[in-house]
Amino acid sequence: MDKPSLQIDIETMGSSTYLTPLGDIDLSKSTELRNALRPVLEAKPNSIIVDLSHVPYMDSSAIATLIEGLQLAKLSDIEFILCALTTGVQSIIELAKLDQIFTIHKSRDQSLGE
Amino acid sequence: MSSMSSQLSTSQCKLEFPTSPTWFRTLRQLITAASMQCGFFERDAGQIAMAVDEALTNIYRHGYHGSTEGRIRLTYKTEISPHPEICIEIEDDATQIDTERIQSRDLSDIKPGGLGVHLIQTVMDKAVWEKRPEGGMKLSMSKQATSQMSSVTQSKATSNG
Repeated sequence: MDKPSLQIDIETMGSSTYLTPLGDIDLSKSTELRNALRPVLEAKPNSIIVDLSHVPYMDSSAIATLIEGLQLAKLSDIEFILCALTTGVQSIIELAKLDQIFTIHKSRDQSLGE
Repeated sequence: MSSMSSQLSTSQCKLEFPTSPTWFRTLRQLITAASMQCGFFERDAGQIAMAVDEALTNIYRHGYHGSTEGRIRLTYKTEISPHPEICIEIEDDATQIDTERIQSRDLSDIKPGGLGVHLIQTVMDKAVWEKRPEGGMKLSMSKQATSQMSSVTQSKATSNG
């Protein structure tokens, strides 16, 4: 079975960078999310917004990657925001009790407004 | 692959597949579909599939140490009545792990990793790991739908007016 890659759109708007992964993020894909986040963190924008509206499912390895991203962003004084969570992603974030740890916006529009 | 009882209230499936993470998505889809067919709502079915996914990931990472050469055997059985229920057994031939070491970590310590066992134990009613006498590990999990979690119960309530 071929290993499909994870498409991640990266867009910079002003001092914010948006990452939009497209598709499930599980063990076979979480490294690609980590690899995409690294240069964005190194560029030190004011904020990084991960738009999860096109991610139906993520597993604990993807959650671990997001926690890493949050921790590295804090070290560089970068705001790290998740937005537009699907039901599947909302579910795992709540089960992992991370809904109070991440800054979560309901929509990309809410992130744009700040 | 699947057998249905004469009353169509029970179904059972046995699968054997390699420890390649690219297979796990297919397994998630299968478990989601089986859970919904026996009466779980989509959200709960998705969580059951996530528990299976986390179990498979743990076998791949900790049992087979990232090798895709290992084998995993998964059996599930679903019941529609009296309450929707799914029982899942996952067996491997991997390195045996002391069951005392398989535990959820303190979630107040925010750090990457170690969430899999917490997610499995939170989602499922029962999750028991044991060493197989012939080698490898066995995980037995089950979950029964409460009336709030069952699309079958809600459907009956609606049709009974």
